[in-house]
Amino acid sequence: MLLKKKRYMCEEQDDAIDIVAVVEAATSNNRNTNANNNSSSSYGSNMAETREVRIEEQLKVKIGEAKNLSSRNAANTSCSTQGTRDVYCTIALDQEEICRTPISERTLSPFFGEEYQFKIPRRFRYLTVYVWDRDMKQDKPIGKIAIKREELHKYNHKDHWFSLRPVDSDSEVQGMAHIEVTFEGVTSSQQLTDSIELVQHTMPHHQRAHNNDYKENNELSNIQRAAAAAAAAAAAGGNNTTAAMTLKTRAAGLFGHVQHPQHQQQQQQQQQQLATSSSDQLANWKNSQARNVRVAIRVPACVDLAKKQGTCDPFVICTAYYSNKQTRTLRTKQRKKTVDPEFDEVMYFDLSIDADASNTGTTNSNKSATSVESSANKAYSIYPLGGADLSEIAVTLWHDAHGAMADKVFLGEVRLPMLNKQQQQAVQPAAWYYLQPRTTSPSCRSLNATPRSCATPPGTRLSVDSTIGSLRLNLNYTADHVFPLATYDDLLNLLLESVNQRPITLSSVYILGELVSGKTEVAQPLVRLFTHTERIAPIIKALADHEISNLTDPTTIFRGNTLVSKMMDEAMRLSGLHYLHQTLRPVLSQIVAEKKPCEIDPSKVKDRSAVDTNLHNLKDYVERVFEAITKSAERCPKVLCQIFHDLRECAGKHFPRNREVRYSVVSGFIFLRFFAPAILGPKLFDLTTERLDAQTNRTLTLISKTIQSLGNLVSSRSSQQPCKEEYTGELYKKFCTEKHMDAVKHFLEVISTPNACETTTPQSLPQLPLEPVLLKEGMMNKYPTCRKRFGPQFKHRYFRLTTHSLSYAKSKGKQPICDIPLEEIGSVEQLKDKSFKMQNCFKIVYKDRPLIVQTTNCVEEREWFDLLHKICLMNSIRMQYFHPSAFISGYYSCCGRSDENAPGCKNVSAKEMDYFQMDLVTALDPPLDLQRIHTLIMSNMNLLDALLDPLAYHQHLPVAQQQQHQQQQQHNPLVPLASALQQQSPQAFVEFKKTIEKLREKAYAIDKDHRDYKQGITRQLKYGSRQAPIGDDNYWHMMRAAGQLNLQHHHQQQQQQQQQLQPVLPQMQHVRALPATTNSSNNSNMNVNAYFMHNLQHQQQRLQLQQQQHQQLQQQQHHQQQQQQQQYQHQLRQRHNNNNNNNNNCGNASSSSPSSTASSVVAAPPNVATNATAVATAAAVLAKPAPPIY
Amino acid sequence: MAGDMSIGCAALRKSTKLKSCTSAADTDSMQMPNERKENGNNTGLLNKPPTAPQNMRGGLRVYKIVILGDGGVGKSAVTLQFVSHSFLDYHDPTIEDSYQQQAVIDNEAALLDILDTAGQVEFTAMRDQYMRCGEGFIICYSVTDRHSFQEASEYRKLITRVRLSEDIPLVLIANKVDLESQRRVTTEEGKNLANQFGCPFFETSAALRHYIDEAFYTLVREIRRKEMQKALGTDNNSEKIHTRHRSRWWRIRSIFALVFRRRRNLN
Repeated sequence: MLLKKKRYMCEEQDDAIDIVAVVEAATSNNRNTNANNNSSSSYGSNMAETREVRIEEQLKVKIGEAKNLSSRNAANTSCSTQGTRDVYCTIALDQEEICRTPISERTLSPFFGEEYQFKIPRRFRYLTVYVWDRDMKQDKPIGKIAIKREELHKYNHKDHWFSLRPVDSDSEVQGMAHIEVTFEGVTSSQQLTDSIELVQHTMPHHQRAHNNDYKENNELSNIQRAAAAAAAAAAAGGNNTTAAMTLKTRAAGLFGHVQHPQHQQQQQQQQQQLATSSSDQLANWKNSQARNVRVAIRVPACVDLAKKQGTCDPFVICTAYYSNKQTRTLRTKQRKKTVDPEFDEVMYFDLSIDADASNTGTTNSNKSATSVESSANKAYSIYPLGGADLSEIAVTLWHDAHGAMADKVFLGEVRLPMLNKQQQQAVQPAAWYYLQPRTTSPSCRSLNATPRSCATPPGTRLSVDSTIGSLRLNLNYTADHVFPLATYDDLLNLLLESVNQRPITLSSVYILGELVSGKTEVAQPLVRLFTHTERIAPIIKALADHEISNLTDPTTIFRGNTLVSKMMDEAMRLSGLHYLHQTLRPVLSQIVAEKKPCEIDPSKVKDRSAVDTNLHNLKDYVERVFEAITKSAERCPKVLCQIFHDLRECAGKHFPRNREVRYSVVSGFIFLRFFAPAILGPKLFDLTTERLDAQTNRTLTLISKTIQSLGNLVSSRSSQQPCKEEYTGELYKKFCTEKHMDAVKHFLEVISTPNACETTTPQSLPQLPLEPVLLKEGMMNKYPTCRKRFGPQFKHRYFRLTTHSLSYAKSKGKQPICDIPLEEIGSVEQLKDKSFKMQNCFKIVYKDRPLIVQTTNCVEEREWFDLLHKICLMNSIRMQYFHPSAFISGYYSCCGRSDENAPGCKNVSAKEMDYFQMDLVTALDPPLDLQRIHTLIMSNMNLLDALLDPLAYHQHLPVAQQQQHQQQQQHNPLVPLASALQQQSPQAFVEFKKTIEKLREKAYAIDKDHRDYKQGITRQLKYGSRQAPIGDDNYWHMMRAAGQLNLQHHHQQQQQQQQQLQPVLPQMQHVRALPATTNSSNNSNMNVNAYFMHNLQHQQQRLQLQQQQHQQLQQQQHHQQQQQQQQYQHQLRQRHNNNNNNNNNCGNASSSSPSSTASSVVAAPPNVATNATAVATAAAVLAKPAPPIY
Repeated sequence: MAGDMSIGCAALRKSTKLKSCTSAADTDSMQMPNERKENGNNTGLLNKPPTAPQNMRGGLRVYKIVILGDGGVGKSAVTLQFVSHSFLDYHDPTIEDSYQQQAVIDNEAALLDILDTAGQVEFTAMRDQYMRCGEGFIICYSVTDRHSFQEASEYRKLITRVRLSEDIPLVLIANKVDLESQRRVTTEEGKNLANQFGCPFFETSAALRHYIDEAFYTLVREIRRKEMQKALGTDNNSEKIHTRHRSRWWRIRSIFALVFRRRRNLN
């Protein structure tokens, strides 16, 4: 009976295996396609809707100074430079250098004081600042600071000392890899109860049989052993590109051969003779072992790998670590000159290897494929108890460096733990992974815990006692999800209403200014918005009027730092930047170039006789600058003229007797806050890009001081005042003349008379072509459109973009080789196509001739492209189509046309703006500004709440919290304003409250869109997809946020059920639990608005407190459910932690199956116990969103 | 200015036992050419153990003092009153002025190098430089301007951030007490803030010259006290040097130096 059954099974097995193999191949294919589809389709559909949501990331970095840098070896340096270094810093997004500071020479505590500001054009994980030591041959990194993108906002606006970490080539990684893992062997275990061992060897036709005990274990009807010759070849060389499909069919054929009953019997006999040591234990061990026999690893794509010395020739090395510390290594061929390589090789690894192999080996460590070959000569072997299982597979990417001495360079690795079945299941069949820093050698690694010793842990913290030194940075990072303008309509209208609101203290703009502590933060978006809507003059007038009315002493008018002075400052910077450049650039560049000494302070000059010549120099410079400014009056932008006019009127109204105030109010802005700072720090105003030495800085300081005083000359009294610094007396004497005073007065008159400007504009217009304003300049690479056979492919050129033309020259200051008028530019397009094999390129088409330009980094590219694109958007000859890819060997790879001048095949990017103003071509972006304001409101929402309903606010809080909030109330910047209004008139106070309520309402309305959008994204994102690669906790941040959002909703449901009369956030009741309809956009959806989440936490804290209280009541009800969830979580967490060593702080839990569990992913900070329960409930909501639990 | 400040920086570093040669070289990069020579002399001297601290000029100890505060609170008025005993009733915004004033404080001559700064945020680019080099700070607010009072704690935060230390010599002054009718900030509030900072507090009037000298002298005393503490804290060796500085001969010498310096200036 038994035998019969066996036979029957055997017969069936033949087919079964075949089918299984085929099916499996099919499914694995399906998986691949599914995975691909997932990444493309889910983000591709509904694109139209979500493309409108964009993410704007802006970063401002000020590199202050470094200190306590470790000194260089004093041995081989001369005395003067003993031990010191020539230090400079670079800022990098991941591994891509964005900008670098000038070199600070011979010092161990260099001062930089450099400020960089840019938009971030792409996804990044770490902001890195490297500190370098310049050396003769090659610059060496002293240390680095790496800050995670999610943590950047923590350091906003404040100076921080960061301790430097050593730079270790093992941790300099970037990019991600798509890895496919396929387990091969018997998969469906219902029919085939036995385990099949498919062993691959380098020797063809080498069969190994395994002993088997039928009597003891009836379940095991068969054990098959087969060797796949083809697989062996693949394993040995790694060059074989045979598809998995064919291998499987061949393997299946072999099974069939082995399966033959007679043959089997023979085998059995042989086995019984040869291997006498079979035992129960062995069978049991075998039974418990994996049914899969080998694993296939494929790396179909990598993205964004780091460039090493400008190039990247990547290849993959796969290393399998076995439990007996044996390793097997396979590698792929290298791909040339690409950071996005695709590898089609399949690498196979056994799930178990024989222990003998390790015994015959010399040591346990680092066995290469060759040693495996030697051990494979044995005819067959026995699986002893301590057999070696696959414990981990490391997929490592290397750059194949050229040159005689060059070694391969590490690019990053991914480790996949595969020790037991659980871990194997946890490995996703196809997923994207972030490349990780290299771990220590596997011999040091224990199997469950994998400490990373030499890799630099990113995210450094404030600490003083570091050995390498520390660096002071001032970071300011903002990330905004910007919705279409329509979303913000209400908020915009509310803000615009402020113009007509009286008193202005009741208006939303004024309240915003009081609410937000950083005046610059709020002034900037406000000014842009009002400039865009052309209401900047009225709003500033209204605010200024209020400020002047509170002023008693006219001499200190607008001297403090208030909202209106900050807004004026921003308005002048925004509208007057071109005017400033036109006015000051020529004279300043002369001063910087000449470098004449101008020090007139006798205590700072060694040689007293030099003072006279210095004074002469200084006078000369001041005279020139003064002339440039006073003669520029007619070019002053109309907007500014209007504002100055209004200010003058205000001052005249409030101080009718004091005539000087009318001048000083204008000069206090145009000179004190515009020209003087620009002369003092020309770099901050883009007036120069050169490094200024100490002497030039001093010269500029002196000029700036004098110009400022001259601007203040308007009052007759001021000229009689004694000079503050004695030595300046001589200088001022020269300039305190009627002539100069009249010039200043005339200048101030003209710029504060809007009509005068209007009449002069026609005159000044024809002058305009003579003085084009420089917009941007810099070195870039110019590529020919088609590849030449010989010579270098590109040329370094110095490009200059002015408001009139784009030109390039061989180097800075040389005569331009080519000058393209902007009107002739047909189109400007970014080139992302792979056919170019280079990054950061864009294409300029002029007169039907294309020009391909490559920038040094992504930020530069974005800036150039944005400028050019927006400038040429309105050109009449703008082209409709272009070729997105290169013209290689006679045809375009995009459309295959062989004519180089053939019309393009792809639509140019759509027109985005109907509003166009040359001056403000890049500055204005109303949705972004509105989003900024929204973010600011949300981050200060607690203050608004506290002010509006202090009772409701305190009701839910424990006593200690209440006290805290009372304290907070004292610091609430709105409270003084509110109480003042209350005293004045109750009616005004009601108005005031109404405005705040409106503000809050609008903010919440926008906030709702954000939440919906974010939930939509989180729902769609699959951990391991390209948008959410494994190995980073971005995903967990998002999930946590989503969890909390649901929690909020959940909480409100509770509240409703308990019929609480005073909900904390009334607007929150409308939160939907259902998944939002929004979809995620193609490449940007991954970015989390970190800032926003930070803001959310304020609310969350409150809600969680309440949650805790309610939970005590609710706990019994869903106790069971929680337990289940927690168990599940625990399981998942374990799995995940194994999976992902680097992901240390918050993550857990993902499931590979696409079933319902996939959506119930939850993240919880493991250390917060209370959170765990809260999140568990959130998980429940996530799993089945529709019905409420209670 | 910048070059001058950097000497002070180097001096500070030197007193904290950094390798002498290195910091001399440090200053070099920031130095103006005409000061190079002097610097060279320093490096020559530095082969010996650091007997003379570097923050000396003409035998006088130089104290780098920086005055901070919001715009229009009267920083320049206070400084000018201290330096030249005159009151400026016209407001001419400062960008960056530096003054030197000699004084004998606690029987020891001192040269105060006072840096008067701009209150306007537009000039923050320069802040870094002087925050880094100042030995003592005076934070100034106006009793008639509530906003300037709030800004005071911002300045204090800034100093501690940049210097990475809470222990920077500091004096808080509330100016314009003569304008009692327009007072917006009470004395108690000022005192509380000073307690919070852990620093001396003065209500001054630049117009009436009330407590002007006291504020500056107290700051110098603060600098000396903190220096002493540091010296006691570190080790015996530096203490020995320090006691020698405090010896009678040293005091006499410093006063002589003051006299001769005056004469030199007159010539």
